[in-house]
Amino acid sequence: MMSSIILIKNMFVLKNLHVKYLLVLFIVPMALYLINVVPFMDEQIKIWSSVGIWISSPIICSYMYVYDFFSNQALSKKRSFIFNQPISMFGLLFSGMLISLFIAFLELIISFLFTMLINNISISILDFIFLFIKIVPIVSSCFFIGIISSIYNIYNVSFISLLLICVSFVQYCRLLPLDNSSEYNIIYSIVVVSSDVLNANNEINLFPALLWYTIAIIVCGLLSYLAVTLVSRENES
Amino acid sequence: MPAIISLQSVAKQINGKTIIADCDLGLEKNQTLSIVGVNGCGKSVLLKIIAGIINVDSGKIFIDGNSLTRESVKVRRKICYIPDYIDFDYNLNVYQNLYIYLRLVSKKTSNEIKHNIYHWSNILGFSHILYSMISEVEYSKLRLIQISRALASSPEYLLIDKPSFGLDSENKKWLWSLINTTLKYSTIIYTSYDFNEVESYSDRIAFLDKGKIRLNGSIKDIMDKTESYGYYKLIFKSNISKKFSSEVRLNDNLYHVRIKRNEMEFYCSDKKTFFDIFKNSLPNDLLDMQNRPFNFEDVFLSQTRKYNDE
Repeated sequence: MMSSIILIKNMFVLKNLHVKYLLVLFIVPMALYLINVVPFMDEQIKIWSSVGIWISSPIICSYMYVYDFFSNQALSKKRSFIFNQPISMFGLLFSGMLISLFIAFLELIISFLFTMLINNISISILDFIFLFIKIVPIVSSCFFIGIISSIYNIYNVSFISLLLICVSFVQYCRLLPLDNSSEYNIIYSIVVVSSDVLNANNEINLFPALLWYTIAIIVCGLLSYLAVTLVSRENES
Repeated sequence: MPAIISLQSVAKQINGKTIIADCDLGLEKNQTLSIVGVNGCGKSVLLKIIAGIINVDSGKIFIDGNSLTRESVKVRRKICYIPDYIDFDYNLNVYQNLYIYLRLVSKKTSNEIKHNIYHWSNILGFSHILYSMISEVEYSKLRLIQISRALASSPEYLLIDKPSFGLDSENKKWLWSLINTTLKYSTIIYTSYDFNEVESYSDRIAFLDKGKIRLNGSIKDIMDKTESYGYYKLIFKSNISKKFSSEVRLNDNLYHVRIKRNEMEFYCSDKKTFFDIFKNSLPNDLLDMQNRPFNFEDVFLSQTRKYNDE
């Protein structure tokens, strides 16, 4: 019941800020494409960078939502009335995470359509769904990292860091087809998503996704606990 | 009549500093209690504690017989807490803020809530800004809209931190008449600096100083209790000697001592102490003595922290 009201509230926020979000949803994949792909107009690069853009842009957009969701309301002494109600902070965070996943899904569709139009590449609906399923744990983890960085007032710094990581990731994806035999093997094992992307054309490998989900559940659990503790402490200061 | 809100030996430390110390308080149903005290004495923290927003370190709080610690959610649902700042969500407009609040606290349907919001926006005169974003509305209007939240939800317990802060005297009167007519079956606790407000709109008053309740009761009770208290001003022929000044400043029974050249002002809790000072002032060429009736503000000053002005 309470969570549904918080969801309605978050939908109101999206409705009020729809111009801002629409701009962000369209600009982010375009900017990533402009920085990472346009200078290297090779066909292979175009395709693999697009994969990077599909993953990076939902992360950036949903991370931007964290600020509107959290910073204005929960922090400082002028916190919103919602945080003074007898509702679970975990429920609040969960509803925020759902909206950020919704934004990520929208952005995935937009960035996919965008790169499909420009590069004329496409994947099956099943692959698309799998791609989203693989993005869910990353977006969720980033959502909680955004909340913690908001609490510590380093949201802007962490956002710039995330942008750099995402740009680097697109660059990294661009390099994937060049050599996947020796020197990138170590990176493959670390960046499970990219190895997953490599396998996407051949066969569906659930292990990387499962591994990501396990990591994400642990990370989200710990960070949400930390966020709840920090917000309660903030309330008493 | 048993107390519907009862605080028993409540204590709270924040960052190692004692904010509320061994606080006992009781309030009967439908009464209005005002908490007064100087800045930083713990008024807002005490209100947040009663609202269940801050947990206590020790002590017990009972509201309508239910423990606030054990049955937090059940009890807190009956409480409407309005802080001294604008606590609206700035990403939502006025209507959306009120709608979400009423959805959270009441069991009314969406349509009923909508009508309720329109009803109160017409009465309080903010129907024309109902769909404005919070950042576009001026402070005094926002404060009224905040109070309308309480009026629209008719809570059993209303806790307001400085209700008339930012409102002019006309709006203040109008607001209190609205609260008193609409929420006549609610138990209200509020904090205030305004002694006129406290005297006019309280059944009981609690003086808070350094986290402790110094005096608690109706205005009549308090004035009766402080009957022996007095405000005195002594005027001397020449500048007051250093020896006498320090003697007066060091006297623990004097409050808010102000010494300026040949004038000395202080509050005193009993007549014997005053006569001791008076006796000692005679060799210092005492010229005149003034003593005025003890008003409510004097009671407040006599109960709050002492300080000496040079």
